[in-house]
Amino acid sequence: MTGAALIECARLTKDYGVLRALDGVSLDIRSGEIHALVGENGAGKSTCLGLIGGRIAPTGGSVTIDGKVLKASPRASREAGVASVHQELTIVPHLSAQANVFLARPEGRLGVLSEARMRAQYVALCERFGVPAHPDVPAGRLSVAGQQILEVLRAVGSGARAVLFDEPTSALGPSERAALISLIRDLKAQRVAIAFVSHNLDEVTELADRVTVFRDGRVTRQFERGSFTKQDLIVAMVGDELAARPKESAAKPVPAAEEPVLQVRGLGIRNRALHDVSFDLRRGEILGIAGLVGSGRTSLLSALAGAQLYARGQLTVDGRRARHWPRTPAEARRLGLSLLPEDRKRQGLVLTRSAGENVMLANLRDAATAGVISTARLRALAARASTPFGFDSARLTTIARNLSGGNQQKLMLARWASARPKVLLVDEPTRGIDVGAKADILQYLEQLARDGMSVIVVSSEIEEVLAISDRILVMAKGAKVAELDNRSRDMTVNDILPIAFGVTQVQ
Amino acid sequence: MQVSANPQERELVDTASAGLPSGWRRWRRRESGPAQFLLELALQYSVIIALVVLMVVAQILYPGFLSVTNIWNILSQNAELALVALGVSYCLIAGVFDLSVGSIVGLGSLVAAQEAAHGVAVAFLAAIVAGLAAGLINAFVVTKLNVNAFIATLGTQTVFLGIATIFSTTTIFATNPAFLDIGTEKALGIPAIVVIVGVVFAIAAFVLHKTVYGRILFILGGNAEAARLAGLRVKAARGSVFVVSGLCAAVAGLLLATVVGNGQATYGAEYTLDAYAMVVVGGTSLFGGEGAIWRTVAGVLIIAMTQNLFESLALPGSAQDLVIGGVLILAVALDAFARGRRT
Repeated sequence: MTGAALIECARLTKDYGVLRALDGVSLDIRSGEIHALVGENGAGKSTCLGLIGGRIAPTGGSVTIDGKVLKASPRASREAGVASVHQELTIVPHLSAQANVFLARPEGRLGVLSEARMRAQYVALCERFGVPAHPDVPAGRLSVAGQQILEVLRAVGSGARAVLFDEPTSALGPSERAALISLIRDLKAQRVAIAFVSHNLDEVTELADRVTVFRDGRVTRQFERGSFTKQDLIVAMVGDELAARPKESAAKPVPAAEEPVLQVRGLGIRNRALHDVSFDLRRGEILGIAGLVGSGRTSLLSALAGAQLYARGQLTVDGRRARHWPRTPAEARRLGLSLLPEDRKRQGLVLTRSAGENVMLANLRDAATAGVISTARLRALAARASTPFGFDSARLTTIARNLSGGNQQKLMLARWASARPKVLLVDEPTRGIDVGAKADILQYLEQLARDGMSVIVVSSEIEEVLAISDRILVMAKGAKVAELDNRSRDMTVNDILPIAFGVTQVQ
Repeated sequence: MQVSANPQERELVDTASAGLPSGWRRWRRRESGPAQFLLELALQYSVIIALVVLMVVAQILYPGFLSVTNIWNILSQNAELALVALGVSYCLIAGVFDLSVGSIVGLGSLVAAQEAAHGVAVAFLAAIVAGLAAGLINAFVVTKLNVNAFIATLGTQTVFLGIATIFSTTTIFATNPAFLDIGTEKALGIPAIVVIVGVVFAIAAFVLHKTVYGRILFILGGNAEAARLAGLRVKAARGSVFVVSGLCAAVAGLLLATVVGNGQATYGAEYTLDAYAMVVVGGTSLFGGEGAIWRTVAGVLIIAMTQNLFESLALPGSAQDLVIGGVLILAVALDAFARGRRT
């Protein structure tokens, strides 16, 4: 059912300074095949895709397409028929959604743009994908999920012979995710070669014809469809000893009834992205917010973080009613609400500065005397803040850009843990983070809650919300549609999804 | 997907979706009522509103302002500067600065005046070659030597001034009547240089907004990394805008020489900042990826008309400087305000 090898990687090696990201990896991708690359963060799978896509130049080894050795440039890969959906969004914010889809090859005749032809193709693509994304909206105004979809449309619409997906579904909600999966199947039927990196092992099991497992820059196993279980993959990814990690204990004691830390009444956003949301949050409680893409869950969180200019409502923190709804993140922070944003790289970290500085970013004053920063004190404070989250303090001098997603998220956690907000708002805590680190991050959030911080978590992965939350708010169409008790951790996705989809009416 | 419950918004959206299958909407676009829609529209075209207000006020203060003679005056006095601003617009949209345009204007005026004796075509050719060479040098320094464009052209600004001074330390006078006619002649009552610059603007607007090349400049300025990963020829595109601005500046120098009858190395000294002021007042972003030729036209008109009004009212030069500086800051502040509303 699958054809001959279209892309062949031979003994690929990639060094970043002294770090060997990829160590002699050989694999092939065939026409009409869905080939999954899995592994923990830093295992080398994204690097491998980057090499095939021409984004990264190899230190050793070669990529061959159709028997021809590929020159390492994005242009050469594109000309050889390889399209990539990158993990980092490559959107041009001021250009329209349509222009972004045709970024790599604006359609034209004699150099003059044919907007009408592009419009027709765009409409066809969107209909195939089942998303009515208006072509004239500037891409910068779309949500992360919307931008991700544009990236997918760009690659899929290019008529490529091979499409490389790096974490294509991590930013998508369930319905877009399902659409993407059926789209990938379509491509396969058209004998396109597909390689994808995913942390979602259910997706891998469901989709992949072959799975290549990476660990520490090497390929450890390869599986054919049907010859493996999720457990096999995990064992190959993390090694036998780690795979046997016991499931953490559930059921946490019911918090004593006391004055809520946070009271939200009648929260709305003038443009109706949100209306009339009310809830309480107690000390040490984790409140999960579930909902589909566009349900208002992210708007809710950003309103709490003071990032929604038009938010209106009544906010009471520790019994003290705020004079008005916080209009800036600084105001929210003064009230005791801090946001751990969804997009770590753009909204959270200063990528060009050291890990230590990033941890202390919000509390630089603590490391300074009369405004002069003491490097030693900064490092000591950063170490104290970050070691509880399993961050290796020897890496505090590393530039944030060079850390894995998991380690970057640990920096963010350390920053807010040391700032000690009353309420920590977390948007997509484990987006783009590998299986091992994912569990760690969730555990750290629980740790913070045990220490008395209240936490609100938004996640597109309902399983994650279920695993961590004491209570769950379900959002739909900008309103709160249900508030569920999950202290015993016995709810399942089936309890939530019908409500989020509006199938089940909640009394 | 949430569906709007507000019928008025639905109406606005459907108008915007003409030519699309039914059910499409401005996806996840901030839902807004008609008032907010109008406000956004006004902010987007604030420069046009400002221009109209300026014209009305000017006409009231100085009744001869909107007379045909005065309008042609304003346009012909600013034609060369507008051409420089056009080149600058290309650079800013592609996300780079070209600070050497002023020196290229001087160079262009010199070589054109020098070659005018051999005929108008030769003078044009000389200016074009000079502009091309200067643009290619800028492109080389930026894309091959990987020097930041701001610094690179800050350097070449001095280099080109030096080259022009070596070429001639004194003023070169042009005596060829055909050459001088360009600066003074009218075609159908329209000054010839206004016609020339107008045609160049029309072509430039078409290329920037309607061709694949123009789209690539917007992509490059909007997100250079996205352009690279998409496999676009980033360096070629980035280099090309220096050639465009070099050509515009050198031809502007030629036009200047036809008007004043001579060329001089230092002629362009004030052009650089004036041109940037015009482009920015028009609303083209200093950060790349955003802008339009009509915005540059509007910016040129706002500054040119303000200046003209002050001269007509015989206000002192210091007052002019104050107000023009104020207009520039006001325009950018308004733009920042509009941007804040959009995100």
